[in-house]
Amino acid sequence: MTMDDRLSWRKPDIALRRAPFILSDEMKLRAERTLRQAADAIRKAGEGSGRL
Amino acid sequence: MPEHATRSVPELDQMEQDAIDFFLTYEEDIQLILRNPRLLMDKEEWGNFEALISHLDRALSQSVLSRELLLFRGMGRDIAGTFLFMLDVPAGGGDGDVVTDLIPHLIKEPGYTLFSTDPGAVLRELPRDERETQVIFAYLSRPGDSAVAIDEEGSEMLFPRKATWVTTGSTTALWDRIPVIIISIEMTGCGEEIA
Repeated sequence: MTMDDRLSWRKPDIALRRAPFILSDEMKLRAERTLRQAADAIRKAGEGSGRL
Repeated sequence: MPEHATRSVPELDQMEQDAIDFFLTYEEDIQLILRNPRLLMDKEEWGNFEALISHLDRALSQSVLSRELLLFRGMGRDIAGTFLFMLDVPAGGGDGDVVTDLIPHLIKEPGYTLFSTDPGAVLRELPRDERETQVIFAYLSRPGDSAVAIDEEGSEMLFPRKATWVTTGSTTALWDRIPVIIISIEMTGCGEEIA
């Protein structure tokens, strides 16, 4: 098993479907916080990747 | 042992520790069978497999996170385009705005869900094509979440099997000049019979 198999979902791994509910305000607030932190972390990871 | 796990792996009993060690060695096979139980159900090894999963589940239930952790998991190229279409997220990425009015979608994972605390580790291992936007999931764990660190650094966290995750929003960021679409997710349930 390669690293990308372990840390990524592939088509045969999962089932996708539309959720039968809408997001609560609390979930949306958490999503905003998660996404801002994640974007910062990804930008910082890119700065340190040292790719040519 | 990482400080974010309130109970460290050495505190697990021998059977649970052995189960985690076995998972580390045979992760691919275990995940394959959990995702396709019919491969083994009619064979005599099924009882042993169920016992292994029982010990792994118990290890997970006894190890909880003491604080929030920002965790990442990737999405392969074979499904990323379809997934973005379903969510109505532009495949080319956006302008960096945070969007939370997407129609939420459920992701059902029959196996265990493995995350990394290092987004670079996830992105580096995805097939690299600078013309294509990469897709990565971000989960901000909650204190009290059941999860086991499966490496000494605590950078890889194993979450319970048969979890259902729900997408909650999206944004974009550049990683090493490559656009990355970030999808936030939350766990909505986990853990049932194997099959």
